[in-house]
Amino acid sequence: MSEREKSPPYRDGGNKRRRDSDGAGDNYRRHGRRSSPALFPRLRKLFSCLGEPGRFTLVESLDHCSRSLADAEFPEDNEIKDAFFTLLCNTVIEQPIKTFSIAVSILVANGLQSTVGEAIIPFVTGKLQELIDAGEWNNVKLLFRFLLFLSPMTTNPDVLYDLLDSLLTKAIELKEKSSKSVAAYEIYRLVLLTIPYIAIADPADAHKEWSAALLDKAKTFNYASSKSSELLNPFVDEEAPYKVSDTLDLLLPQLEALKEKDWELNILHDYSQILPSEFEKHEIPAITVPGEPISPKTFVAPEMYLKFFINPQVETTPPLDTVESVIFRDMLTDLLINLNFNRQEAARQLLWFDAFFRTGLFCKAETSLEKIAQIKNGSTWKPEDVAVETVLAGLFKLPKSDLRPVYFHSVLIEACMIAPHAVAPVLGRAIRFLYGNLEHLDVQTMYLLADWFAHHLSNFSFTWRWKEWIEDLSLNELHPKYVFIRELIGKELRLSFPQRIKETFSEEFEKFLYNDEDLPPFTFAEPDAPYSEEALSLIQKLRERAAPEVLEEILDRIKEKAADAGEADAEDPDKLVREIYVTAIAHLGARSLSHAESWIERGLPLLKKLCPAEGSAQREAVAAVFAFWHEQTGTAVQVVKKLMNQGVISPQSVVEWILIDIEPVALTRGHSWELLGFAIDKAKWLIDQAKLSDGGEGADHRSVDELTEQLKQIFVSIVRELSRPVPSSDSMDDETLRWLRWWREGFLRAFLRNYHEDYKELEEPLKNLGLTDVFILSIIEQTSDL
Amino acid sequence: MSTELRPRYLVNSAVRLDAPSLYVEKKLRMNSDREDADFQRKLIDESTTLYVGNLSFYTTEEQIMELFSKVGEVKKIIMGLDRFSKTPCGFCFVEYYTREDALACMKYINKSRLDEREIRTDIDPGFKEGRQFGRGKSGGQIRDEFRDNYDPGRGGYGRRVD
Repeated sequence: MSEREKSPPYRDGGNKRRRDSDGAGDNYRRHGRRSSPALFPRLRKLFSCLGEPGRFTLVESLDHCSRSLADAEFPEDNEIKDAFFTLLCNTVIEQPIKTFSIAVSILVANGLQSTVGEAIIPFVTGKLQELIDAGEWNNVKLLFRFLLFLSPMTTNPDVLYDLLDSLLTKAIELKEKSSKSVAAYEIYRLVLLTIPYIAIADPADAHKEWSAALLDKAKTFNYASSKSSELLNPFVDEEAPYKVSDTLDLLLPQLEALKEKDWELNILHDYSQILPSEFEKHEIPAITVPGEPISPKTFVAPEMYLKFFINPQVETTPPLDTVESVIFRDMLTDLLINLNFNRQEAARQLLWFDAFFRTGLFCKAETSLEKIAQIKNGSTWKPEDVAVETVLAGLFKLPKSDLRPVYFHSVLIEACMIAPHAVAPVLGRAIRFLYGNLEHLDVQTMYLLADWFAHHLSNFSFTWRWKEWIEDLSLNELHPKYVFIRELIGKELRLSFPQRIKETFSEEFEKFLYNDEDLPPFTFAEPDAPYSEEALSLIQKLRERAAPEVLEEILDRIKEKAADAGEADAEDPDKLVREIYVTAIAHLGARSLSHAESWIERGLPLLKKLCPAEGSAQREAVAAVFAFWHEQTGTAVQVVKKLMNQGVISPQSVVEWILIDIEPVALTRGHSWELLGFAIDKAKWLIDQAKLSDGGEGADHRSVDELTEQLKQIFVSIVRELSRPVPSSDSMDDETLRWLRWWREGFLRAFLRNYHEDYKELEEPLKNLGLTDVFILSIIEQTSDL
Repeated sequence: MSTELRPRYLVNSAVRLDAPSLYVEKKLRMNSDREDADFQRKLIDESTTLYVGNLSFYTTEEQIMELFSKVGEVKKIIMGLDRFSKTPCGFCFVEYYTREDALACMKYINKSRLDEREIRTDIDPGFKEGRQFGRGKSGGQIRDEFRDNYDPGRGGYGRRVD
């Protein structure tokens, strides 16, 4: 061990708080019984938090890291060295904000000990080659950036330019072959997002010329966002609060502007005083571009640049005509997505990301909007706004987020826990912005918002200033704001219970609560119900585990009785007994979902017999469940899902129940949205299962063709039913009709967008529906362009 | 040591939250039966079931379903019950259809709040009949018998039974 490492203030690496998280290190230390921490954990500790705010200045930390690396004596078997270099590559991919300081510390270490550079350059290049060959273009972008910032210590940095140039050439070729080539798009994106860093890594004139040449060539790619990008806009009408654009469409003019400024982009700390003046240079090994670059993805939706903080007085985030807007969105999105295996760390890094960039590039964290408005000289960019906006953009990305929405919820929850004073007001502004624009939002965005906000509130005592929304309770019940409040409270109730939620708001909102003190009644068995005797004995026999024949006898008695009485029920006795039986099962299973599940299993033979695929039997079963659980539709949804999983009802029947049977206004209920999506996914899943078991045993398995046909029918139903003119009735005023149309169009837009890959072959059958509605035809056309 | 418990070198920039907890690791490490330890390790590595702890006694299956469905479709929830009273005693097992969903749950749900309590999830080797009951002398969970604080969500003060 060298003298330097023993000297204060670096004795503990200055990073004690890391110790707990350094799992492998503890293990190694315990068994190694060494007097000092083993090499790998020590370096890991130093480099993984290099540049984070802490006890030491950036210069001190960089100095210490570089010296430790230069002095490190790696064992000859390369195991530790490779592990450490892998860690560095992973760090620049998982936390790209650290790329620059890590690169600088390696440049400094190389100045002290040239073997550092000699070893790391081939290592990083090798990893880069692997990523290129695998078509992991986003990671290529990140690792290339690392290599770019290491290039001052290379003898042949023009290899890097050549690589970008030939990749771009390949992308242009690929696009000429197929305008929808995913690899072409991803490579074009990678080159475009790399250009601004070239001159930052090394402001030599040669590098500026590379940038200009690449930019000129990129223009010949002729990127044009497709018609479909309208479908990915979370704002559905002309009254959007800002113009939503494709990120790559924004980037091109931004780069032009940057070129005008001679590529000067001053975002990093000034490292010039610590960079060595004399050092040994190393050669970058040859990197080969595959003859035909590939991408493992089959579809990539254009990325729209989403904003959530729009202040008329002062811009708290980089404006859309500056390249910083896209650069930081891109860098923080990469961090957010790639670090998803540790949401706490992701939140922590996002909250202090500004520390990794030039002091003064952003204003101080936690500066209030009033104070920002008074800033005369200096940045008004609020780091929390930039970070939170990135997470929200990830959550609200259409057609779907890169990771499960709940991940984005969890990062915001963590951020709010770590820095409540900085984050909570920012989230409040985002909520109010979205709420204020609800009637211009995509239906999916609205439900994403309700789902996130309810989950968020459930982690923070359900505290919200409900008062500011009281006035909106007098809006039309189909108005998106009214629906949003109702659905938000509905989601809160599902995570909690009425008594608790009641405490969190004033009585105006109590109409959205339900009574959970008693289980819903089994109305058929109430004393004055016409078949109460039979209904009671049905329950009794079910409890006694009587054979299906016994149960059927009871149902037959009900049919006879109905016929004798000559009541309306007699017109469809099968429907009557179906309703009674399904309700009885729901009633018996009302205590909990486990009960529901086991009662469905117990009643299964007769359930299947009473609910044949033909006609509307299965739709009636869904209706019976919802009638029983009408106050707690969350439970109804779960029971219907269980019935679907048991094969009692088909996905298609659920879709038809939503689109045909329930009242038009019920389309605005969250459960319609939820079940429609679930049913389509289930129909797709059934096809996958059938494909897997194709050729296997089991006579009960329906064929792939049959199931595919069903999925098609679902899409045909969706288009046919949602494109029907809104049924006018005397009870509906103009406003109601207008909103009904709004919801139908919203559902159609969202479902056709989200499942565009699945209904692609359907253009012919859809045309045969004789559609004339311009809106629907344009949606179908746009989705075909996705 | 019978099995490699953790990767020798942590090459990610942060700890992965989808790994089994120290409790599970320790249990595997303490297992002197090498064959059984390997078997258990395999179960853990392939499991789609999670143990969920620190629930309120009053949290319902529906609430659990609502939260845990956010990472993927839940196959089954098995509520932990007091051995004697057969009432919920603050834990449950959640089984997913896929391993990916179970890991996502470790990453995104573990240590977040349900019913305003910080819940804890852990990868479980898989449910076996009998495990739904508390193992304490009182019938509930052992941890509630060695607890000195007042926890209204878990039956007040700990009840020690001698």
